[in-house]
Amino acid sequence: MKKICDIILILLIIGAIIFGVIIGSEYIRREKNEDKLSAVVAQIESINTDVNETSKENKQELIKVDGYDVEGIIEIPKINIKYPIVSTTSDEAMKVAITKFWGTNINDIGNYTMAGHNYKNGTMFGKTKYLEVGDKIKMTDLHLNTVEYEIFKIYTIDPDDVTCVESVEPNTREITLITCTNGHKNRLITKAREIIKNN
Amino acid sequence: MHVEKCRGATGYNRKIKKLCKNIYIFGKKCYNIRSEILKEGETMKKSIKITLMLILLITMMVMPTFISANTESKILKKSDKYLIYNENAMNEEFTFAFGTENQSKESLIFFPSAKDTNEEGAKNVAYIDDATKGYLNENSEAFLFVRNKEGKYIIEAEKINLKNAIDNEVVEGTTKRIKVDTSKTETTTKTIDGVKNEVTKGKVVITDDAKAKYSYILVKLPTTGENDYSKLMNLAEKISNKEEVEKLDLMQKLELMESFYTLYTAKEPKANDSSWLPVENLEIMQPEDSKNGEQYIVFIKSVNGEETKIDAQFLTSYDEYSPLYEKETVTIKETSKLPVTFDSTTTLIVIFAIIIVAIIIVLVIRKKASKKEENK
Repeated sequence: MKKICDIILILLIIGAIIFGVIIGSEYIRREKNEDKLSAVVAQIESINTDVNETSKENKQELIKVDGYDVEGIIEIPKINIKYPIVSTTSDEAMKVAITKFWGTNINDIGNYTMAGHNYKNGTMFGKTKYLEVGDKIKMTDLHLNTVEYEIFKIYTIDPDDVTCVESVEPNTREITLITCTNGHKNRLITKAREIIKNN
Repeated sequence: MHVEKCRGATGYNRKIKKLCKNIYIFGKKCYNIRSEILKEGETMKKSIKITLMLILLITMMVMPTFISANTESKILKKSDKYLIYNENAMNEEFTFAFGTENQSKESLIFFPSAKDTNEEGAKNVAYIDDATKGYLNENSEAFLFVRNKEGKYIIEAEKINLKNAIDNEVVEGTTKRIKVDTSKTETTTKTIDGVKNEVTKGKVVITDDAKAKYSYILVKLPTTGENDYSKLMNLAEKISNKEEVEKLDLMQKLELMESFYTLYTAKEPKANDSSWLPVENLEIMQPEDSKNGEQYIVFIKSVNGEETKIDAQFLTSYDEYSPLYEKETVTIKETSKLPVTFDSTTTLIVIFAIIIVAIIIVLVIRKKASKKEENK
């Protein structure tokens, strides 16, 4: 009996070590990724300081994160996040940054939909559950044009329900944030619309 | 026979009586011939009626041509002179006189006709100037007599009334009396359906004497149908279209000018009208709600000391909406499922926790097993 227990114990400890290493390395990767993303945001924001137009264009074209093209920046002051948005949604791309799931270009008329992981450490869209209607989101394109949006709707849907990619009001600028909730059984949808500043 | 040869409705009854008298012996047959004659007579009557109606109709149709051929003179006021054009008398020199309606021709004093311009192809006109003004009565009326070179009267006692004169200054001077610039636009931003737009609208900038006080009346023309203002606009457009005007003969031009003048003088607001609105910063903005292509007549009044001028501008509204950003681009793409965005490490942590618990359980079991072995 003691021998069997020892064998099981050894196997469990090995398993624990393996899982511990995996979990630890994942957290280290995320931390490093956060630093990388902060650097990319800083890189985008530095474009404007370059007075040479050609150089600006070149820089805009060259901005990538792990090979994924960057389209712009999303900033949500309330939950203190600021991330680059990459142009493709895939499992791998979502590990890297916030991804564009639907839409044309940042700040175009229409609905620009983004997906981000609901990381428990609060990175990516991990804290979007704390957002409320009326909170602000800023979207900046690579020309550093920033449009401010205001959240007007937050709701939960099934993963098969893709209606959230449609515009609520045609000919307006809208953005939609998608992240998982209730494990991976549902999606938390956060919709925001451009704040119109009347001159 | 007789019946066939019978023509003309008047002799029918007499002929019928004669025939009946002559062929009375034929009894019944006589009645047949009589009824035949009567039938033919009615047909003739009908034909005559139709012919008369046709003649009347043709006359009615032709009458306006005759009337128009007998053209009335048109009076054009140019500076201090009144030029009298008549289609029958403008292509060659003539002499003219003014008198009363029943004045004896012997007592008329004739003047030679004048050329209306110094240019080649100038027309011959009668005129009223300081020298001939005395012939007008208190109602500014006189009767015109015109003789051609041969001394034949072309016009006899045509009533001329200067009140019917077309004032060339009004026709040619409209839109020019008060100097404006209508090419300027004003761009503002406006939110339409949630989209911020640059809205560019036309405006009238007054470039005339800045010391004068200006006011305006803006009249919107109907988009469908026609009223006097839209007729006025059409006439103004016709007059300003040099190519089209060139195609008209002189009398048609004068008729066009007359139509414009009559309507303009009827529609021009009075200087003391209460509808005049003050002009601010020498600019008259196109109305906020105006749409591209809508037409307006803007009457502008300038008051500079004792002098008051009223002018009109015939405008088509300019309206350009350009979204500050591009319109929505429709991308055809399909999706059937939203991406999986949950934190996969949660599962790993749960497994890790289970392993730890399992280790603890195994350790407890192992300890109990060790105790049992020690007790043995």
